[in-house]
Amino acid sequence: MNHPESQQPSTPKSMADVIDLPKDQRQIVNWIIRQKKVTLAEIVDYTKLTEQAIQENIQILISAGFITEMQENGIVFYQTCLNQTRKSKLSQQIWDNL
Amino acid sequence: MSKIISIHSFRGGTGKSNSTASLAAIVARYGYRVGIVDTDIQSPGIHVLFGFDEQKIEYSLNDYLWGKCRIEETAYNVTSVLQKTGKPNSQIYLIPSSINAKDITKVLREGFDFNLLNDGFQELIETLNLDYLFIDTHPGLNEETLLSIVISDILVLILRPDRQDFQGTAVTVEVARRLEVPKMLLLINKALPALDFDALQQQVEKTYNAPLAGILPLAEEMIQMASSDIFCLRFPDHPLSKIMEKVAQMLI
Repeated sequence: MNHPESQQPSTPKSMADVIDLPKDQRQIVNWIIRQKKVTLAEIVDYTKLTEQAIQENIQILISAGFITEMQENGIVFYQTCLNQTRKSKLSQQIWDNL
Repeated sequence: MSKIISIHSFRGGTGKSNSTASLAAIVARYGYRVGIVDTDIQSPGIHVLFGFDEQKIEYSLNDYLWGKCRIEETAYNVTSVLQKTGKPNSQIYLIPSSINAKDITKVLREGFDFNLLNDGFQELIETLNLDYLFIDTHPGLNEETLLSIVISDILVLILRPDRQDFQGTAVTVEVARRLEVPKMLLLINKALPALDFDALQQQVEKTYNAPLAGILPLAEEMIQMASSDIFCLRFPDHPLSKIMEKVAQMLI
């Protein structure tokens, strides 16, 4: 385990969190963002890492809340589940005046 | 194979929109189908360069992000700006952001779905059969710009010969490397003609360990034009346009 947040997703992960990931995990997440959804075989083909190493990293990324596993017609895919919106923290009073 | 090209800078006022418009126009002139998305939702403006009347914008990128329309409904064919300089296949589509104050504050207040933006880029490429999609970004680093960078095939980073720009660009270069952008080009803009361009090029390439696509001189004509037109189309023989032409060839 080379990522401290591998056990439980605490807060939703964002693009900014991707930057701080270890290289191999970052490479996987970057690739999935570009491809939208990928199979394990596609990740192996792209990263040239061993299947075992990728599976370990995938489990870490799933636990940390960066990616999610899904099935379509019996095929397992991975896709990102990054925080999708960035809402304002400015007080409602200010917005009401606009 | 379509390419996504993000034009970005760490600081504002570097000439991102002017450069995006010129590069997109030059690429289109070669006979390509080009899209330009104004993702600077907080401070949109590239539509002005295309002489776009904002009153005639029925749907903007904002409407797509709020689920009011399909992304292709926000694309406006602005190929006419090429006049007769394009080839038969040349096409330029502009996807503007809203310049309505309420729409801008709504985005600031509520945010938007970043994944939807990514989906929209892909849909645009497919439905408009684009060869190139240019993304005019918001300056600095935030969630939208990180997304634009990570999905780009080419990232063009614009900076001025200015110490604040140099420092901020170093941060952006580091982030782009961590996001594994396949190709990154630096572009210096607004350089005083009196500067030693060769020395500047060497300094920049050594500092960032990245190729410098070109150095654009500060041009009085650009200031006089005041965003009323696309520089490279208005002044095709200007030294700045010649450099921009070389930069565009690095994108193709």
